Amino acid sequence: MDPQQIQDLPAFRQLANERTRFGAGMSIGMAAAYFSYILTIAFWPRLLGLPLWNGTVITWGFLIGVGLIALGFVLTAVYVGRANSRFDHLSQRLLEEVQ
Amino acid sequence: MISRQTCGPLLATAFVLLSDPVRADALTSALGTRQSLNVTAILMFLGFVAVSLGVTCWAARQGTSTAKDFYAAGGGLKGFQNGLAIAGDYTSAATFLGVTALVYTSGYDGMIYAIGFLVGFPMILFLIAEPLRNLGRYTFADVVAYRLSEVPVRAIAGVNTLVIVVFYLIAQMVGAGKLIQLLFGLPYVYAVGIVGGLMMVYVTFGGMLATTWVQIIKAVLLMSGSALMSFLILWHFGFSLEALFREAVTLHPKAAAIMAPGGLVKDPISAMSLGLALIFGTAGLPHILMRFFTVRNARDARTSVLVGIHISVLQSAVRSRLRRHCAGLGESSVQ
Repeated sequence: MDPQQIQDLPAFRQLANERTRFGAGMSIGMAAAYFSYILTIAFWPRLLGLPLWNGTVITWGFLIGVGLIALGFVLTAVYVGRANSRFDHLSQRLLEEVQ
Repeated sequence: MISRQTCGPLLATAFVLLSDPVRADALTSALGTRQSLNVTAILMFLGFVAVSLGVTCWAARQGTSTAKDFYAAGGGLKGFQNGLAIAGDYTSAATFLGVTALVYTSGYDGMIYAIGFLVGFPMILFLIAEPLRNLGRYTFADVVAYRLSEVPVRAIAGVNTLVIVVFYLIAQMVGAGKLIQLLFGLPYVYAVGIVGGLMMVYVTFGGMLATTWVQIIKAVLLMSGSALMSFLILWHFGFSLEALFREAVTLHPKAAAIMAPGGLVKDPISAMSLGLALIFGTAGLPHILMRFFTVRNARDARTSVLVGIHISVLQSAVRSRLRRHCAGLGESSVQ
């Protein structure tokens, strides 16, 4: 089967579309969180220096920083989970169809 | 003031210092001049070199003759192994020593670096890793050359790669050279020469397989070392983050300012420039991209990022605590 024919298969289109959209969505989410953080540092650094509650030395900046690192991990886990189930299933189906 | 610069080496010789606190002073006081002989640290270093050269020998015997063997370890690594190696790549001299020192001197701003480096990894996974892998090429230049006119694309990619790698490598070599200088009391030029020579031996004879295993050993060592130190430090403070931070704030000359941004990143432009460089810089590092070719299939490639990030997250959590404590520790030894 030549590449053009594979590209026209609905199963291929579905896999390519879903994966592109999912990957783009996840990276937009990650980048949005990260750049809001960077813009806060750029324009309102004082916000990040506010204490978490009265009388503590731990700041919001610390919590948000740890949160961003955790978000990176969670998003990766979500992506890997979905890719291992949904996308691998779709590409398996595509392979069977092609053969 | 002097002790401030030694936080990095201080961490790297964690075990030595923990088992023998008197040495901490010896290390602290002699910076700037050459260091008196630290036998324990030198033995540990030589042990590490011996093990990694052993790994290189073993890898060379597995065969590094084909391009796939040399650049991608034959594509036979497991996801978990590659994940550990990614964590090893993340914990480079720049992150481990550089970020630690940054947190030590400017406080919170060092954390921005740690976050930026880490955020780059998911971005690679979501956008670049799988399409690149599916093409079955080894480098970014191979992929672009596949689509566009080969000669000009390869020329530009080659120049770009070399420029980026030179800058990146200089930072790593300076870090490594300084460390050897401190531990061995060797002149800086020899220290850098030895490190460079060792690196070339690993890569030339062992290819990606040896490089990967050296990274795995490094990741495991650093991880267990920092986990132990962080446990001991937290234990010292009764497992209270509040008490730990309060101590750091009390002892650091910048006081409460170390808990907020502004120590290093002073204006909006430099904040944005740094933010962009960190996230896209990591995503573009050639040795990270190549990691995706060392595993058997896409599933293992994904697993490796997950494992890599998981370990890096643990490491940054652990290390940020260490650094805070270090911020206090160094100052108290000055007082």
